[in-house]
Amino acid sequence: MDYLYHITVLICLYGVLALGQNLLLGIGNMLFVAQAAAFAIGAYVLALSALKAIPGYLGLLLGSAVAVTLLVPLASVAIRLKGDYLLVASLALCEVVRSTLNNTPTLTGGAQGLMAIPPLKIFRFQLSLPLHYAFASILLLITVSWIYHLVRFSPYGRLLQATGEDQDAARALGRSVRQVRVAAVTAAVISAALAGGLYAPYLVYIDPTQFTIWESVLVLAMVILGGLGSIRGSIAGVSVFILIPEISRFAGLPAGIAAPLRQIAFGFLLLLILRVRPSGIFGKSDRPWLTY
Amino acid sequence: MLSAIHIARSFGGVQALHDVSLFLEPGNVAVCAGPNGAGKTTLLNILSGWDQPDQGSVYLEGKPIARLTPEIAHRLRIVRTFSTPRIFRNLSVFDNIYLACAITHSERFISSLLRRRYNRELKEQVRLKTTSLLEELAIADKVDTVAGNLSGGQQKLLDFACALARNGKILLLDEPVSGRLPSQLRSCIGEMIRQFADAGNSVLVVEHNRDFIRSIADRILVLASRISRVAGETGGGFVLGEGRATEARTWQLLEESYNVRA
Repeated sequence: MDYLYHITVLICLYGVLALGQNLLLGIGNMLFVAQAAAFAIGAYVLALSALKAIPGYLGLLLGSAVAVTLLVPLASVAIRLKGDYLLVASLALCEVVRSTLNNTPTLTGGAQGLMAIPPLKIFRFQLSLPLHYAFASILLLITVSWIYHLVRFSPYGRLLQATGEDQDAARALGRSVRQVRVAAVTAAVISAALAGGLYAPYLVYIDPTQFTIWESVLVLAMVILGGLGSIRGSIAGVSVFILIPEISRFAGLPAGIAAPLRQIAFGFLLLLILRVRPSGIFGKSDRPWLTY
Repeated sequence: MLSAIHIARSFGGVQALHDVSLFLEPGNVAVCAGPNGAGKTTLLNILSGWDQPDQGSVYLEGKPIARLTPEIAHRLRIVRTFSTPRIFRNLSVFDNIYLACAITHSERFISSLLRRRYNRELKEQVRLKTTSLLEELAIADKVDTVAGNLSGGQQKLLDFACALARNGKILLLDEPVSGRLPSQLRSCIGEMIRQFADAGNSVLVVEHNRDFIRSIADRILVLASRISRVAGETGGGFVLGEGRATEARTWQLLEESYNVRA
């Protein structure tokens, strides 16, 4: 059973990351790919505060706050770049966060990471079993999906989409493109930091290798595979990417073959999707762009 | 209201505008006419902040505007359209008009979570306004269509509807009736422009279509592209003349502008 809970936790937490990425790319048309950075900061801040016996809810809040104060000022400069340049800048941001975590052993434990993170305790509820974490992450995913849904069909979502389509036209309508984009990045960063805050105490042990650039790229691939602008799509994309390695685990192949086979399967799957449904699994159908 | 004095603009070696002056008055529809390459669109770009003049400046209510940008133009309620419609193609017709209405206070991220009822009411209001606007332009049935799926003519109409919805004081229209539009719609657009001007606003229209010019213009500014009489100077943007639409001389000038060759 714990194995199923583990899969649930992974799908839900990556689902939260994917929805944040989807807000930026699917609606705002921003190739800002730094979900791993916010995820890492959320996880580390919660782990450190939990090790110092700071209450769980404060740790989660602190994680979001630190992630926002560190990442949003940098992001607000970076989002002036367009397209691929923004991608490169945001990946650099991920790498900066990872290597900082790796090279400040006095604070973050460096490459050894943080061990024996105590279970998350939110007010009177102590999350100690995988079941509890599964429940909490489902709750988080539902909340984030709901917010995503509300935002997408709100005046803000309409404006975010407009700025993604034609920045100059939006500017000529008197809107501040930067303000709109910073708000979207802030929302994505907060949700990713909260996901990180659940991830760290669930795993009990975290180290910088769990938060590399590849995590960000993986989230990006999940969003694209699922379909831009679609909630169902993002969750489907996440499920595919989490479940495929698990299937190969049951096939009983030796690790030396399973790992490269997994990569091949991913590559094949991406090509297949791009060939058959270029707009992603739920790309077109979930995208009527009608209001509300 | 809006005026431009001694405007000159060159692109590389080509002088697009030579010393052009223009005055827009409230309640008036001015038309800027002339052949291709005469600098009509360049003039419109400068008046709406999309381009900066090399010389001369733009004045609003007699005060010079130091550096006009599209943002500042929006704040000063100067609205312009482009000859190729500049609309958000992935958004619905309704969304395009909603954005044009510029109800910015409802566009905060937080308000999409906390002020849902208010936003819904706002949407109903905009919906009513949109429907009546689109009904006049005979595209009311397309309210929920994605703008990119409209035909070229319908996109043009949507662009015009957005310009009206923006609640400007000065309207600069670049070829509002170019392309294939039924003649009823043409006269309908003419009437709507007239109504807008009669409310005390001013309008500048860049247009080729002479029947349309005749139906709406109060004054006509004629630009020409090359004048051999001016020794050594070629390019566009010479003012050939300016006059009332009721005077025969103005129309002669307009004829002449198409015949001027280097």
